[in-house]
Amino acid sequence: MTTFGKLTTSALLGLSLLTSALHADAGKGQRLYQKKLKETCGMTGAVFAAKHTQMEWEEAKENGNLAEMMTEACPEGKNFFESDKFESKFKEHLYDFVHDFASDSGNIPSC
Amino acid sequence: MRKTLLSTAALTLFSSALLADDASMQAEIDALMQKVQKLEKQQKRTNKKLSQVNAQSANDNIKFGIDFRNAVDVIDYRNNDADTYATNPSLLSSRLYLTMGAAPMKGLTFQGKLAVYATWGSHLYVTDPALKDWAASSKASDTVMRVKEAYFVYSDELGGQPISVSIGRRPSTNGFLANVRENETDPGSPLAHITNMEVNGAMVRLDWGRFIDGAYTKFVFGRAHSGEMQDVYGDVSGARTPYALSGGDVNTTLEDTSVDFLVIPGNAYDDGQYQVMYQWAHIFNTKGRKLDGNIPKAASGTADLFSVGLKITGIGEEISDFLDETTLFVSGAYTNYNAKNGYTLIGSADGGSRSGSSVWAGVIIPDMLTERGRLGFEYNRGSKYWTPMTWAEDTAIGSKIAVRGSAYEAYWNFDLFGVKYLPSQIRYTYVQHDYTPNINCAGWVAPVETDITATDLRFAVSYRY
Repeated sequence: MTTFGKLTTSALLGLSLLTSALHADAGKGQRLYQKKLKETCGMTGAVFAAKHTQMEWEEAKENGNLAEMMTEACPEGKNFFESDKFESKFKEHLYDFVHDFASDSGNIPSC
Repeated sequence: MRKTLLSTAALTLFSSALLADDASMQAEIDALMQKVQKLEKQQKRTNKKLSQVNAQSANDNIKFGIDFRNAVDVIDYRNNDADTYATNPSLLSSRLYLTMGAAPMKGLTFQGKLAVYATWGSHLYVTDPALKDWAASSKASDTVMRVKEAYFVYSDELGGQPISVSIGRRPSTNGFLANVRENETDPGSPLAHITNMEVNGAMVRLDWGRFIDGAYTKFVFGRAHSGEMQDVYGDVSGARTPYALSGGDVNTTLEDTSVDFLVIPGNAYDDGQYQVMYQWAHIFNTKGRKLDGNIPKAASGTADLFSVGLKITGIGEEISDFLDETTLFVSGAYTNYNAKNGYTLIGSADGGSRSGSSVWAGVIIPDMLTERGRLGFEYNRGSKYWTPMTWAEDTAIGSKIAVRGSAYEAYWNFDLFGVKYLPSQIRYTYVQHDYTPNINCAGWVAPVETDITATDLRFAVSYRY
């Protein structure tokens, strides 16, 4: 590897480890929905997310009743939304996803 | 008696006062309730209006996005037969994508992508003959902004059958399986194992999701090269024949025919964890060589390309976080070029054919250092006549997917400073060419055995929002 290459590698490696904040991931939320809920709910993720506006999803999350609101949108998913795994592992990712594709998000689905 | 009367009067007065207090308190409560109800109504109206404004501001205008990448590639080529080499210790490039999206109504969307992909200190206009419209924004060249993608999609239902139609410059680069090595979240439309080119076309998409999870088929007809013309005023200065050759495609000096294609990609199954994709591509009038030697690159025959790929996103069912975040994929592909009588394609006999095959496998795992970082490892193997349409693949040393030999690749995708808007990458690609390198469209070249090694170490930092 050239000196230039070594320098760049070291710099990027160092910079990447400076911060590692916990990120929710809308893409992961979308995959989670597809894998665990699409069949149960009988609707696409886009339709599920568009059941509420961004503000409504935000309020539900702030008030701690996101699971209830999601259950209201998909009653068949009640057990999933009330599970410990939803609370500890999936909630943040699913929230990011539904917020990104809420009815008033203006997000454009791809081809 | 007087005492009794006085007591009664006092009680009456006291009760009246209490009743009066109760009544006024009730009146106040009622008034407050009315106010609360009024405020609630107002709040509902405000929320409704805010949603409308929010939707309008997003939907009634083009929504722009930015993907700005700066990269340095350390490139090295070794011809082990001739004992020669070529290097570039720092190919510096900047790539700007200005992405656009609009959805003026339900079921109708527009997507666009304007691109500048330039080497630092580039020539003002790069006019290399090999740089065509199909790779114009995908290979580092000059600072001209070009249209990389622009298409609309209209979706509806015909008798319960979901259908979409689209026309324009397609999202036909960095498709299925290639988007991860490009550190892109969403793949383009076709299977990158056989198609990675910028093209214009018309598409019809039929959704089979009501029968099989995630299934659909697309039918795309398009044009990769415009023939029967030389420039806007024809091929002879004396003749005024805009966009046409005198004598059509049998013009004796400029024989040229349009190269059209029919591509049928689709999802056979996709449940969010297991995804199987397939594609057949048929190229009409692909370029090769006329055996009488008069015209070097005339329409020489047809090509058929097939690919099937499996991607597994998450191993098993919540065995561990590491396996949940691991992706495996494997893909197989086959190409067949059929020359017309009097022509040869990639070294075929007169009117003969050449077939090639390839495998591509990869694994992407969490980097175990950062929250969203991923390490990827990929392997490609291609046979002597393996010739996919991947000329727009963004690898500085040429398409590694198209290798006639072996390619090994490792990359680390991570967020600089832990900021998700700064996706970055370190990528190392090692390519061993056992036969003539297959790095641009050259159907007239017959592959011969060789021993060339090419390596590319890329460092890239992007701003993406």
